[in-house]
Amino acid sequence: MVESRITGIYPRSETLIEATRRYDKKLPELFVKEKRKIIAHQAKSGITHVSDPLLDWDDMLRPFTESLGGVERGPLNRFYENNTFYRQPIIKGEISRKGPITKDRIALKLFPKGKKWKVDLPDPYTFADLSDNRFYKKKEDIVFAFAEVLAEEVDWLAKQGVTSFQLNAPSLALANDPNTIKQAGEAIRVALKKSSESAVHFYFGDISKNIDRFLDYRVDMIGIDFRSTKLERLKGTSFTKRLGCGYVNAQNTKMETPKEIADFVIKAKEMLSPRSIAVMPNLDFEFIPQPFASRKVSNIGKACKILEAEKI
Amino acid sequence: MIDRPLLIQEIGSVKKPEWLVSTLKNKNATAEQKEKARDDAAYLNIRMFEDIGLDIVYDGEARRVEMYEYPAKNIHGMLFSGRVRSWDNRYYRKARVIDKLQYVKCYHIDELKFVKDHAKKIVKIPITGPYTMADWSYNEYYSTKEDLVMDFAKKVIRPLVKDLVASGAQIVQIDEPAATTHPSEMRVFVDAFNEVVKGINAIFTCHICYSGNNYASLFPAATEMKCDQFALEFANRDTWELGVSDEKRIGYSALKLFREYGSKAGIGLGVSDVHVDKVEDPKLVRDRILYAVKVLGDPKLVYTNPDCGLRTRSREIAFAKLQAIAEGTVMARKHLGIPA
Repeated sequence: MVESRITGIYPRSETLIEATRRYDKKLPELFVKEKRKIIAHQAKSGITHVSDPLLDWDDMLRPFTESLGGVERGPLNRFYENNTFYRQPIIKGEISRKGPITKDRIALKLFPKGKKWKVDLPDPYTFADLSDNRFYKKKEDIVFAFAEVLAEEVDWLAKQGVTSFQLNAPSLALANDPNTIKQAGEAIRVALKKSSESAVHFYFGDISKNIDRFLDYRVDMIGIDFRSTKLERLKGTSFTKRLGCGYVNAQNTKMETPKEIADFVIKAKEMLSPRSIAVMPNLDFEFIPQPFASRKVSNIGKACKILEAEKI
Repeated sequence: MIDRPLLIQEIGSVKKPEWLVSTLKNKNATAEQKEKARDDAAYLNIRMFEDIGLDIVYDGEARRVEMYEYPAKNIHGMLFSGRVRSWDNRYYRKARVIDKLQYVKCYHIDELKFVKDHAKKIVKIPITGPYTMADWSYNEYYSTKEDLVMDFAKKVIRPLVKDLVASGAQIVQIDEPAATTHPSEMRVFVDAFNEVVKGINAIFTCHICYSGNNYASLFPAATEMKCDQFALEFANRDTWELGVSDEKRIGYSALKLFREYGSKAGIGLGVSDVHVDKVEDPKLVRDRILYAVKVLGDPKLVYTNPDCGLRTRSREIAFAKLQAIAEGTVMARKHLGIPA
């Protein structure tokens, strides 16, 4: 079976958008109902690693921004090169975990049996990079403090039955300094030490120059946004891990056909010879309206069936 | 540029009055009643701007739904796809470009005529620029983003500007909030702007806000823009303390870039933060203006305005902020010995 997964925050339906705008009293129930539908769609489409669509995460850092000791919610900041904004975490004291952060933010009860359960979390370097540090001496101190918090959270989630963890690392995809990349890798190792299956997904940046450094990370899978990193630029790379093949464009409504997706995966496999491949979007689907995201999820599933038929 | 120093201007939309929104949503209201309500709101905005003391006015964009959605509805080749998040529970409607873009009609002509008929002060019309239209759309048709941006410039925005100028528009503000979102695309943004305005006899200003990198990415490319004035957001980054030192006016540090690169363009100086209800002390507005004059060296290069449109604030707060801008500007003029 060809592995497949969805990344990060999924778009809300029009019903949910309206409900959140008027702060509907039934919002908590509505979130659960909508999450159930999306998880069912993932399962029906044949996605092997199902994940919570994070509909109630206002940005990828928010549950942490709002619940960690030493962190306060700051101003709206532009989220990389997008017309989307996030609340900047302001670090005012020692970062500490007061209890399970994702307990009410990941709907574990909705995860279907017979599928792998995947949880998406921000990578430590990205959290530090997107924060306003007013406490620690160096950014690297935040990276490792957050890695310890993540390690506790991963441990708790693993005990609830989560088998697969994916750290999303846009800031790391944009990093250039070899020492920074090395330290970030060490922090990721700390964060994921209790994870049975681990992945780091790089997006928003061309990682071709640093791919060998990322392949040194102690994780099972390296995910690549192939809209930012051209496959051809990775030629000659000895891809010693599973490749998260982020070809499906989560920032454009233009629809890739299942065959187009499958053809790209085959090309990537021939060029990089990875240990195995997971088919996925290049990043979070929240940048396109839900009906388009849902069709793209279906097409990922159909592409996997083509690949299975061709024994890829 | 207009040969008078420290002119006061608005930037964009103000919140629509409740009665206008109710009328527009009322299924029983006739088309005539809705048009009358729009006219009334536009007239009220013009009167309030002028009464407060603004020198350059429009109608607070009383007829427009939103700066992207309104033009997108009127351009051939665009189709709305649904809503996407801007932040938290705030969403905007985003369109797909599914065919070659075509200019269909001068979609701002009625409002321009109305404002010209009713304004006593200088009229400035704001329009959304080609780069922002492209950046906020899904490109399903053009081979590259550059092709999309340039077709917005050549096939849509330039014909629009030509029609507006032919109808008497003398100042056109091209809104480009997306301009600095992708620093590597600055060349495309500048080329598109110049393509829109080339050879057209009017004053062109460019409004850019919330750049995320303090406008550094504008340079050096911006010096090649055929732009008479950059209307920018500064107050959002500044302190609330009085004074004209670099430390007190930290939010205005980007002004030095304009000086260092020898820009001759005027600056629409954002002196009021549109994301907070707190109304600026006119003395603070005064000091922000005096600091800008000190850095740029010529009060004729400085215009005063809010950071951006004030539509996220209540009408009471918005007009109080404009009042503070007007009072602060009068104080600055007095300090500099400029006649009112």
